Amino acid sequence: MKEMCDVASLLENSGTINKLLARYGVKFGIYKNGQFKEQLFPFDAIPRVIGHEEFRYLEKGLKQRVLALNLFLRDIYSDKKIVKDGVIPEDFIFASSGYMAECEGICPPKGIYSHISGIDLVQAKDKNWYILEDNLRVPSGASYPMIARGLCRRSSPGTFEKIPVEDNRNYAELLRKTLDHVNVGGHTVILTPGRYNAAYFEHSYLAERTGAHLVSGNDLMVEGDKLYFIDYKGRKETVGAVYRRISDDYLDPMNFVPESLIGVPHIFDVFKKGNVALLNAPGNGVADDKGIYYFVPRMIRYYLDEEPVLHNAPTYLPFYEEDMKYTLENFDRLVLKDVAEAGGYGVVFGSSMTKQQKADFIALLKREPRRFIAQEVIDFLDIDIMENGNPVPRKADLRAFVLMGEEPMVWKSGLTRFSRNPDSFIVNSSQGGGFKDTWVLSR
Amino acid sequence: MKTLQFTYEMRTGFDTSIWDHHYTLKCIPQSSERQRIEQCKFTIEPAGSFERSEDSFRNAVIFGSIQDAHDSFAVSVCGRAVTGLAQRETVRDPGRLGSFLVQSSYTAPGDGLKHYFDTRLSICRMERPYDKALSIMENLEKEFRYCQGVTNVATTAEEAWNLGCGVCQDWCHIMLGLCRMAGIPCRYVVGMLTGEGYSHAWVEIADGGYWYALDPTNHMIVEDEHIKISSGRDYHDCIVTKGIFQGSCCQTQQVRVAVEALTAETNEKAETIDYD
Repeated sequence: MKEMCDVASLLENSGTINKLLARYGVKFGIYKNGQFKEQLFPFDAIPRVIGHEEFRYLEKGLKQRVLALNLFLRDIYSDKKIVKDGVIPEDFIFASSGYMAECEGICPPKGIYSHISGIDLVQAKDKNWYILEDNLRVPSGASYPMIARGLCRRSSPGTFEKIPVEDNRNYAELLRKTLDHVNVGGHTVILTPGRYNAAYFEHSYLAERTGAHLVSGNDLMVEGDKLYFIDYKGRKETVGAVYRRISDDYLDPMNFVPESLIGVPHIFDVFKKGNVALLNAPGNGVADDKGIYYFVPRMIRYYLDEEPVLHNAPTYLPFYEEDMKYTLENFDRLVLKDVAEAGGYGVVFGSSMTKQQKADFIALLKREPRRFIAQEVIDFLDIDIMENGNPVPRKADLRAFVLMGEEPMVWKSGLTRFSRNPDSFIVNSSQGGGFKDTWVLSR
Repeated sequence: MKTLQFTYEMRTGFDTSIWDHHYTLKCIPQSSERQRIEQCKFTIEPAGSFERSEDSFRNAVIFGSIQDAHDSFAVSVCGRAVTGLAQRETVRDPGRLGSFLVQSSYTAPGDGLKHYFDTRLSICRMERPYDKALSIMENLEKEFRYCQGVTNVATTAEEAWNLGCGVCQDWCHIMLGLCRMAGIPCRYVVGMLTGEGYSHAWVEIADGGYWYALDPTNHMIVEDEHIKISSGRDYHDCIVTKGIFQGSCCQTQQVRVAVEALTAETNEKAETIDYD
C-alpha cells in the first residue's frame, strides 16, 4: 500500500498527537456504577482510507437515506400516510419509546427534523457496506476527527502533500450553514448539559468553530412566546436557532421530565409556535428506533420511489411470525438487540449465551416480540491499529455525518471507532473503544 | 341539554416568596360538538407575561412566567356552558387512534389487573367496543370503591387496583387500562361536574369514528352534567395547573369548582353577578 509509507511519519508522532488531544480535553465521560469518570478517547494514527469512487457511492446512499428519514418524520407527526398505506404497522410507531405525542401537528422550520444525522455503517469482509443504525437525536463524534486532523497535519504536513485527502476541517462551516438555514431570526446557540456530559469537549469545540454561543439552560429564558439569551451584562437577545445537545426528555421541565435542571422551561412551547428552531427536532427518536430501522428501505421506496443504494444489515423482526420462526431456528448465529437500548447496551450474541440464558431470553422474546430485532452477524472487515508498535487487526465501524440544509450534505470524513478488545464487535465509545481519522480521497 | 354556570378557582399560597416562576395551565374549556362555551373569562394573579397556545391533543394551553417575587398564585375561570348538544364527538384524527391504545405508566396493568382481566371479566362475547366499555364500567363498580386520601396524583392503575379504592383519577386509569387491554382506544378527560367541589375526571372511548364519554366514578354515561376541559392519554396530559419556581417554601393549594344549572329565572339573575 503506497499510502503506508507516507503515513509512517504520522505514526511516529502518534504519541505526541495523543498527548495534545489529552491537553485539549478530548475526553469521553462515562458513568460506571453511578460514578462519573472521564477517560481519554484513544486516537490511533493509522487512518481509515475511503477511495474517491467508493465515497461517492456512500454519499449517494446516505443522502437518500436521510432525505427519506426526514420525510418519514414529517409524515408521522402529521398525516401518517405510510401507516395508512400499510407500509409500516402502527404498532411500531405508537409503541416506540421515541414517538412523542406532544409533537403531533408541529412542523419545524423549513420542515426539517433531522438536521444532523449520524449514520453508522460497517464494511464487511466482502467489501460491502451495511448500515448498522441511524442516529437522529443527538449524534456526537464529528469533533474528534476534526481536531485530530488538525494535529496530524501539523505533525506530519508532508503526508497531506503527498496523499490527496479531502479536507475535513470544513465541518464547522457545514454545520453553520445548517444552523443558519433554519434560524428564524436571532442568535444561534449550542445548548449543553454542562461539563459532566460525555461529549462536553465536542460542544465547546463546535461552538468555538461555528461562532455560536455555548450556553447552558440558565443562560436561556422564555418570555412571552420568544426565547432569549441572557448575556454577561444581563441583556436579553432573541435566539433563532438552538443546536441542543440535551435529549428530548430533559429539554423542557414544563413539558417533559419535570425534575430536569439542565433544560429551559417552555422552550418547547416556543418551538411549537414556530419562534425558534431546535436542532435536531424533538420527537426524532421514532425514526431511529431499532424496530423502525427494519423499515427504512421500505421508506426509501415509499417516499422517494427509488431503490435503496445502501443496505441494512440483514434484519428480522420477531414481531412477524415468519421472522420469529427464523430467529428461533438460527438463534445461535444471530445478534439480538433490545430496541429500547443504545450505546452498545442491550446487545447479545446468540452464540455466547449459556443454555439457561438462552432459554430465559427466548421466553422473554416470545413474551415481548416487539422489543427485539435479530440480525445476522456481519463479518467485519478488520482494519489495523497500532498496538505496542505493531499493527494488529480490529473491528471498526464508521459514523458518517449528514447535514440537512437546503440540500443534504455528507461530510467528507467521519468518525471511525474501533474496539480495542480483539474479540469484541462493539465499538461504542461508551464501551471504551478508540477512534481513527477517516480519509476520503479526493481523486 | 342544560345551561351550566361554572367557576374554577385555584389558589396556591407560598409561605416565603418565590420567583422565576413558570406555569402551564390547561383550564379553559373549549366548544365542541357536545358543548358550547359562552362568556368564558379567566384571570391569573399575578400574571407575569403569558401566551395562549394549544397542545397536541387540541387542549387550550396558557403558558407564562412571573419573574418578580410573589407569595401567592391564583387562577380563576368562569363562564357558561351549554351541554348535552350531542351524545358523542367525532374522532378528528383517526390516524392517531392507535396512540390511545398504548398503555402509559399510569394505566399499564400489573399482575393484579391482568389477572382480573383474564379470569373475571368476560367481554369477549360482545362485539361493539362501546358495549365492552360499558360492561367494563359496570363490573368495575362491583370491584372498586370511592375513597379519598388513600391514593395520590402519582398512584398508578395497578396500585389503586390493589388498594381496592381511590378517587376519580384512579377509577379512570383503571378503566383506561382495562379498555386498552380489550383493544379499545380511550382517553382521559378532565372537567367539571354539576355541584362538585373539585375538578373531575372521566373517560372517552372510541367506537366507529366517535368518542363516547363514560364516567366510571359515578357509574354513568356522560350526558349534560359534565363540562369537559381537556383530554389526553392519562392524567399527565391533562394536568390543570403546573409550575416550577425558585425559592424554598411550603405551599398550600386550594381548588374550588362550582357548577350550577341555570333555569330561565336564574339565567337572568346570573347577568348581574360579578365573578371577580
